[in-house]
Amino acid sequence: MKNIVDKIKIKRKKRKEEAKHFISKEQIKKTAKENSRIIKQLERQNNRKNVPEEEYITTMRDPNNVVEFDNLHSYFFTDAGVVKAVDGVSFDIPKRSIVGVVGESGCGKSVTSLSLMKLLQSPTGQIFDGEIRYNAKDGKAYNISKVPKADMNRIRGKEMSMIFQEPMTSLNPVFKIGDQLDEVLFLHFPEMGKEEAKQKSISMLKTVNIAMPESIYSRYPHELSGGMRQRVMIAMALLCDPNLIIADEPTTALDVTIQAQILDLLRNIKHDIDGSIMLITHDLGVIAEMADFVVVMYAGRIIEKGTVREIFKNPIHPYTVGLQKSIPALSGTKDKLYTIPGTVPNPINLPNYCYFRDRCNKRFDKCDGAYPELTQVSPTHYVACYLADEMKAEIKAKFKEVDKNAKR
Amino acid sequence: MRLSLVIVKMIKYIIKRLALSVLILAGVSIIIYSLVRIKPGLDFVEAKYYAQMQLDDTGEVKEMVKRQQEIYGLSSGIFEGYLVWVGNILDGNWGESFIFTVNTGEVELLVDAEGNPILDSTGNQLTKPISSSNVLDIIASKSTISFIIALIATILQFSIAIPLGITSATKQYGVVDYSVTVLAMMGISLPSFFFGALLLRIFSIQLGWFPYAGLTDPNSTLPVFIDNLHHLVLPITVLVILSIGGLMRYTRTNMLEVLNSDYIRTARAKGLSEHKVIYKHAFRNTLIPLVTILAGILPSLFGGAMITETIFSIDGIGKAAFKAVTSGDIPFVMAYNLFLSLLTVIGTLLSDLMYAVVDPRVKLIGGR
Amino acid sequence: MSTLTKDLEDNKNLPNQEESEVSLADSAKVISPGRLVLRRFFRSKLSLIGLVTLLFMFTFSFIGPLFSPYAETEATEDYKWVVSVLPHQIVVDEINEETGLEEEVTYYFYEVSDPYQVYSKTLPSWKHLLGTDQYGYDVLTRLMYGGRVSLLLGFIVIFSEVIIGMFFGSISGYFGGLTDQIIMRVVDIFNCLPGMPILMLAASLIDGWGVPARDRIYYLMGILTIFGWSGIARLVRGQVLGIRELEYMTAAEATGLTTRRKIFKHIIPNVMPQIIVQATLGLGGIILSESTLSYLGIGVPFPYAAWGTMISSTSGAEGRDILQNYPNIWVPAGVMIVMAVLAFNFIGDGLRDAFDPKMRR
Repeated sequence: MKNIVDKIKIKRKKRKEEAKHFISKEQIKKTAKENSRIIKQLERQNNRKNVPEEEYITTMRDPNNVVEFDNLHSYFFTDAGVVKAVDGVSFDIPKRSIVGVVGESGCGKSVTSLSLMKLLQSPTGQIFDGEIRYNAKDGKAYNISKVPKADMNRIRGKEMSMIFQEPMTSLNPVFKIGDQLDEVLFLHFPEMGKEEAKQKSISMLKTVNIAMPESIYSRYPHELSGGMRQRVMIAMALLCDPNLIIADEPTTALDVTIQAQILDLLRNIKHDIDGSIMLITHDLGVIAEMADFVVVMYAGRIIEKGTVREIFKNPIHPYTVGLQKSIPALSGTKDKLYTIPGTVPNPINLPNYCYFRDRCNKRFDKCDGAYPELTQVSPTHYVACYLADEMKAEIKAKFKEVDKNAKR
Repeated sequence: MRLSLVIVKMIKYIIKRLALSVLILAGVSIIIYSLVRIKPGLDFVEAKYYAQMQLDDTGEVKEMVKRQQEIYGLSSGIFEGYLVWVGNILDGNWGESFIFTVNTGEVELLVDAEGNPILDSTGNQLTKPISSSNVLDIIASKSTISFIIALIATILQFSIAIPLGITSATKQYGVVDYSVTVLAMMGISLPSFFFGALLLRIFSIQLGWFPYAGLTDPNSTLPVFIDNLHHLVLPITVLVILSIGGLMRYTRTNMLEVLNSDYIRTARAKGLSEHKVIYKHAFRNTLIPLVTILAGILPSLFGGAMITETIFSIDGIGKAAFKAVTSGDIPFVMAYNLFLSLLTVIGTLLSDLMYAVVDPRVKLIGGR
Repeated sequence: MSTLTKDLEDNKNLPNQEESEVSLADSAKVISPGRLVLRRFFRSKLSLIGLVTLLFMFTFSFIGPLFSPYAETEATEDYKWVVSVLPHQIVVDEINEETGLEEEVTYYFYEVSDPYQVYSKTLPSWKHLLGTDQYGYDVLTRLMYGGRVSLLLGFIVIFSEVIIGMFFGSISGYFGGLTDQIIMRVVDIFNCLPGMPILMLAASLIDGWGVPARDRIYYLMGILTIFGWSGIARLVRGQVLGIRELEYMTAAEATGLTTRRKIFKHIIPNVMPQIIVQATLGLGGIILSESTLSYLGIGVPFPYAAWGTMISSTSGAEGRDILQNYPNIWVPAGVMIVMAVLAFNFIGDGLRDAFDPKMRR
């Protein structure tokens, strides 16, 4: 008899335990209600019309920057809970530079760029907090997170443009290439004539190394290969001579040989235009080749940022180290490629300690503490890891040595 | 050179599609004919005229029965019978209705026994209108009014459903979306005979706003055209409300799919206004699946609406079909079914061709 | 003592630590796909409304008759005996006895029938909550029996359609080639047949065969199935074609599974969600078709009750009278049809959204 009671008790306990891991109906209702309240508030702010400029005009911290992300929080309000896709990200894109953003898929790098363009999937995706300051051509600085939807259209496409990951599906299948290119020009330069726009589009197709641009101009997207379409996308991004081009994994969907061509093209473009490129990729090799500055993201936060040299010569965060180790090298005798064990934690209910702790091979007692702050290890090099403090001294010494060597 | 190649390819494609259509029509006709012949020994013509044959043994009825049986190949087995029937259909002899006759518009000059013309007092030759029971003649004469009604209903349906569907997709989970969803569902779920009766009861009998039946009212003071329209308000309302829901939902689903695609994000990234994004970039792409709906429009335009026409006593092809069914006029029902299938096949063909017009990715080679 | 408390404290701390460990591993709250679908389904208000309506319909139709004091075809005592009187006139050539001349004489006479019962339509009363119809039957009871017919017929027909459609669709999609060609052409043919008119042709032919009333409903199920399976076959074929291209089918191929196992273990379960949605939505359509045929008088035959037949009383001999003065005879039946079809549509829609959350937020 007692046995049975015990059994029932155990069962009940087990069920309770299990229940902890499920979201209860009330919880869902509560989150859904809360979400719709927040979304409504944010959307209302976004959809306002005739907002006075003062509300979103601000000043740049450093006028030499094109974009300054300042403590950006971009959330997705799903019914299962709030997904903190970008959770307090701050970095700058200086003028005439290439800034690479690296990280695994789902680390928030694409969301960061979409926040900058205000193209988050509404209504669930919202910029919740923080500022994105943008230094426009006319010298004004906009706080992108506050710019209402209608006014954003003046900035998008003209001041900053975007190259997407999937060239195969990013062009509208029912319009000719030429029409899609001209459309951008007509939109941002209403005074431009038809013939002029055509000439400009064709010359831009030439710039991106498309042979027979006149013929391509009157083709439909499906008649072109993936590489060609990505060139067209790049041409479209360049049309209005933008301040900033965001390239969101521009080569991921392409063949390896085409990848190299597209990267070459991007590098050449940087010399041609008077702007910056924000290059998003999960490929550290690409970053090493192209970027001036590197931002490494993990689970919605920046874990390390610095110049290319710093990140590649002196990576501090074990994740960055792991990423570098996992690049296949042509030379060398390693027969097994390094992989970082485990996966990124669930973006809902992130733990309150270092997100990388459970995958980290250099974990030590300090790591059980709160999430580490970004600490400065050199004027440009920041890292969010408890190892940084330990290594600071070491690094300083190393740098001194390097400098000495350089002086010699 | 290139153009001529395209034309050759197009002709090839059309020929291939036509061959397929013929195949499908052959299948349809087999099904229709077998339905009629499936019970061996049951001759629907004889069954129909059984009573008259008992009464009148002089031969006139027998002659008629024999003629009808010949058209349907009823005296031979089901296979030969089918061939006979198809042969007749290809000859344009679709059978004779048991219950309908129409004036063909031609007249017969009356002559007396000696062959001299009979003249009336003013010296004109007397004539007699020639009536016909040929089902094709009946279909032709009855489908005009059905076509007019269906055309108005279809235009209304499209001009209401598509904008509403788009709004509902762009403002997903908004007030418009919910009411559109519920209304569309209501439209899909309402049986036409119940909805028609309800409208009649409320707007015609109780409120007296619209006439009870028919197309014209001899006592009406309104001009004929306005009077006709006044009579058509209720039937067209039924047709529109019942068909609008499906189209609305179809538009909404397709629009949602398109709005989630990458090229819409590209369009937004260009800096286009939301209005342009939706009505230029998204709408053109939603049109592509909407073209398939064209296939169904043709039969509904010419085929009439059986129940609606019957309820509102409009003498169109739908009411004729209804009457034919209820009074066992199998020749007419067979022809009507074949006619609708023919329209469906043509409609499908047209919609496939339209696909190529709307979607540049579709080449008329190989087909789907 | 102090060491003991320390131990205790350590022990106290231990579970906490463990718990945090557990909460990390399970920070992603795992819900089985089935539960997820159910949860999404029940979150939609419309699907809940549909489900409740359907439950009500079932109780009403299948349990309701047990509590009804009247039978399906039981006339109440509200009748009167009447005779019908048919006037005739006949013209006869007769010799006038006075004049001796032959002249035409017209005789009038009346043909009087045997007395028969006429039932009176009645408006709702406490005895008959929805009144009685022109045959003296209790409308509420007829409504329940009509529901039985519609729901039962709907489920049987859709079940047969799914079986046939799944069989031909999966064969067509799985084997491809000539088999696919042949089956798909047949499906094309069935798709080109006009829906309602062909059903009417078939139903009126069956009417002509003189099938006994009790068996008519089985024939009705038969023709509804025969002219309805092609849509599901096409759907299944499309799905199977899509699944065949997926990697896991290649894997199944590589492990050398038998064809039957591949179809039943790997393909059918993946097509099931779509089929369930399609079948639920199709149920509404079948109920509509059945009631339309009954309305036309070629569906469920009199004296059996069907919703469509009840509405058809508005177009019969006493149509105008019933339409105008006795809405209790036909409106409830219409409302029942709309409710049933709406319920299936709501549920089908809810299921589709639950199975395919891509369309939802």
